Amino acid sequence: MTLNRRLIQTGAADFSRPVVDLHQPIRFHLDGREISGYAGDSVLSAAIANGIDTAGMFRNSPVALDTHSAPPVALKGNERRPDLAMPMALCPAIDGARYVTRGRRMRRSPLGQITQVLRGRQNSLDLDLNSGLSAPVLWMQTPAAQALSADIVVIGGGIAGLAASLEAAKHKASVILVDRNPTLGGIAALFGKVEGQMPPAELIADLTRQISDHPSIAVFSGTEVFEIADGTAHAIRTVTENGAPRPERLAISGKHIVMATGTEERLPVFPGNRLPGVMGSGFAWSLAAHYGIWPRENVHLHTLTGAGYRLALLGTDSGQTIKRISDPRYEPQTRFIDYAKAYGFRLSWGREIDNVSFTGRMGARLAIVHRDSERHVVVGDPVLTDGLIISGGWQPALSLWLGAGGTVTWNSRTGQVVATGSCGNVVLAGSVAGFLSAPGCQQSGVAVIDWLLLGNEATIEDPQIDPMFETTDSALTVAPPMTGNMAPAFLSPGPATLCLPEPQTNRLYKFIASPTPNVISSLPRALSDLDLIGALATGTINGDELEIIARERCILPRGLRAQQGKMPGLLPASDPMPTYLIGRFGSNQTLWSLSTGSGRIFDPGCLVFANSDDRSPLSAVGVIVRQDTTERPLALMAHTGLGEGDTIFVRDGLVSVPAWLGERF
Amino acid sequence: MPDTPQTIAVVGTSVFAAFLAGLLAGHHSKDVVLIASVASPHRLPRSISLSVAPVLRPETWQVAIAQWPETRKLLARIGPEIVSRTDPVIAASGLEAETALSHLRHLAAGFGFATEPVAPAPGDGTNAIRMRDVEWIDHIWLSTYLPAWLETTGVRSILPQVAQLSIKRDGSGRIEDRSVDCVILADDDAMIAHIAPEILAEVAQTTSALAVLSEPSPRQSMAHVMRLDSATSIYQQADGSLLCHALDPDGFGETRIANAFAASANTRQAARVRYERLLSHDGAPLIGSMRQFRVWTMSALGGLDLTLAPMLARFVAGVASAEEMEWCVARRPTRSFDRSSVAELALKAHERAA
Repeated sequence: MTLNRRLIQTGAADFSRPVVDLHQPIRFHLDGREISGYAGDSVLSAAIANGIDTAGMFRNSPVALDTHSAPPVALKGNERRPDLAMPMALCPAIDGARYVTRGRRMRRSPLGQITQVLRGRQNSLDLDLNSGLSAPVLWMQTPAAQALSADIVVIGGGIAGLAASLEAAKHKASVILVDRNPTLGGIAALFGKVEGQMPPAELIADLTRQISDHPSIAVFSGTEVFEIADGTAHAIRTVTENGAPRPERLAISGKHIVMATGTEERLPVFPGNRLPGVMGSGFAWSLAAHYGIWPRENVHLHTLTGAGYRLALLGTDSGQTIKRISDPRYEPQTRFIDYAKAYGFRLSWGREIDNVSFTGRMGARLAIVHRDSERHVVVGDPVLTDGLIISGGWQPALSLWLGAGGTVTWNSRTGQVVATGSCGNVVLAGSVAGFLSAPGCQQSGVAVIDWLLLGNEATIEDPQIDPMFETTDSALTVAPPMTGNMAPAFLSPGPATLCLPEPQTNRLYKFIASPTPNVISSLPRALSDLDLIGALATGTINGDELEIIARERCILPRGLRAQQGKMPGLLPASDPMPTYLIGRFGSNQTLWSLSTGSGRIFDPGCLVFANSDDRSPLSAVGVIVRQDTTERPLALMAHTGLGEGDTIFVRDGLVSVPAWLGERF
Repeated sequence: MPDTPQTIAVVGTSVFAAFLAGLLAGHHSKDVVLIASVASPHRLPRSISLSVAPVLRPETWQVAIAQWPETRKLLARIGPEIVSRTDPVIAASGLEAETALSHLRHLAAGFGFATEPVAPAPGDGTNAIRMRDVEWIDHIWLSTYLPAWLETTGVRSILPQVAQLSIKRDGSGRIEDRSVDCVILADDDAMIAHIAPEILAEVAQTTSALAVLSEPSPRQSMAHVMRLDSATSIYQQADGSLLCHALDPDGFGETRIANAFAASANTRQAARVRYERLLSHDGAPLIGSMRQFRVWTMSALGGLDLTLAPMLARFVAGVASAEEMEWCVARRPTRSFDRSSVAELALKAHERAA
């Protein structure tokens, strides 16, 4: 692969300190393809930098490669070892290593393979995503290699997590701080500075420096917590030994677990919202800040937030071209708009995206169709662009909370699913708890620790810019579902691959067909908080149902575990007479031995009749219970007036076998 | 409470409770209030429903077979695709369960159902039979259509948190400022919520159960497995996903599911819920009013709940036939559970020792 999307020189401070070392080029192989990268790259970042932008196909439509769709990887030779699979985003790219992705491949005929090459689809990992995206099942069921413990476990290294760690350490508590990113700080810097407040980047730098100086805080960067269960955070990271990466499962227990997982980016719902070339602003910012990667040279930026404008400024400062910015809000106000105007961006307000499709034209891969936000009619010509970055607004990252058994509710005012109540030893801090500003998140981290360790309750100030100057984020927009050859409209970027159902256009079909059941019932996948947001925004579920769905369906998709050996029985040993035979033939039923001329053995349950042509259980006069010690059949018989030596008939399958009453017990 | 109540509160979130409420209002002209939590087709079904279920009393087979054609018609009016055919594999291991399976096989054959031994059976040391042409009632589809049907029958649905229900000792009740002649607790959740534990313990044991929906897995020849010895049920839906239920008093529910159905092992879970379930002391249904607290119960009906619902509605309305009346009365909660003459296979749940 020769494509390279690195920001070699950038005037954007956010992107000036990537973790990759541009002086240390490396080469490795992924699924047999040679990939170039730099020391510090993850396999995912290097793949994206090399133009691999497609994870695979879902319903004949390509799906973008990102943190949600990235499959696990393993070193070549370990493909069949689930315990050696690693998250692609956490796996370091090592010079000379040979990696393979794990997952079901698209099945193609030889002709299909040729077509694939001719269409230039070498930019795909070629996974079959029809049965859903990868879930962390590969490593969730392996035992933890390391058990760690501390007084306080902090999950998330954003402003709140950093502040909580420092506050806990200040009170002599031992702290383990876990963050999935390669560097601490989260994405607070994306939102830029607010007048009268310390710029987030400076605040993060200051907190990070204090953390690194503190001996009682153990930091685990590049480590992802995938479950909190029984007071323990279960995490995965990769470690490199002798030049070879391998996964390591950690079980981190603490008296208290502070969840400062921040926010996740929502995805506006429109056909083509996960096509390759379409990317969330948070992911785009992280790629640029951590790895110096900008997705495409010419991009359109669609934003429902103020932060989207800032990302456009950062991209331009880095020498990239932002063709246009669209926003569903009319006359939005943000502190970045004047800059955006000064930079000469074409701004389209009151515009939602109706759909995005591939275009065959050279140099412009995507065609973006907009529609008016109020009238919902398509407006203008399609915007042709190389890439699309979407700032869809933010949702507290509650997947771990939900998996731990936490409850949520729907806040219709903010359009967010928010946590309610408490959940064992887990507490929330920062933006996952609803705080928006950098000072609010910082104070929240401190306040949580003071409450846990000292019992102090504090008032947290969360200063907001007046909406007159900073318009609130738009509600999640929903366009009509796909028609014809359009790509699916995903409800979220999550792994459940929920989509808006395609409307039935055939009138006859509409007339005779039953209503389609909701998409969630018919698509059995575990859901994430982002799936809930998409389902709520599209009316697939309503707010009243949220609690039930969150409780039952927001789970870690573990495999069902079989176990050798006998399970504890739930059927008590019965006395000689099974319970279901008590009173079966009346209160005077009695046990008789039977004799048959042939010495035939009957199964328990064979019915006994007075006449050979009877077969209905309702006219049975008895039933075979078992054989006695001499292998004579024993029958439970109604009081019929029959006596020893009388003939009865035992129905055994299709035949009626004569037998004679013997001894009465 | 009058012999034929006119105003009835049906309490329960299950599809059975809603179906019963609709039948009482729509077919018996009762004034019915359904007190149920949010009805959602996304809620994982807590039980399964069949046209005939693995029961061991001939009289229960008889009422189920007699009732099914009517129930089927009613369900077809509520919505399409609610009923589909299934050939359940009924498995058992251990002397008691295998004996019961043998009795079941001969009963089924006697009532005209084709049965055949299954080899190899699902699970080690297990015997199994396949019963042909049973009909499966899809709770997810049914719950999709029920709200609209309930509206046509005139049932008023109330959320329990919106209107406080108080039940009097004579079995009548009060919802806010309105009296009802009769309160029917129509599922396990309703009984657990409204009957004092010591009174409930006289008729049933409360235990934990697990329902799991899996991601789709390849189609299986044994697409529906039920185990007599643990009340485990696994049903493969049209999309390949497995809808699984198991008792879970000891934390082994998931293992029971995985062990019962080889294809389910390592299949990823898509939804999961742990809930409380009642096991009547003799394994038979609880129909009618309780001894001290004369509220009506309709519980422990097993897989026959929906099949028997029209008959139970007639029983409540006082228009059941003599045979139906006899069957229902024999299963009243005030019966003696010691050597009960209506007993079925009675499972007992043992909590895991701490």
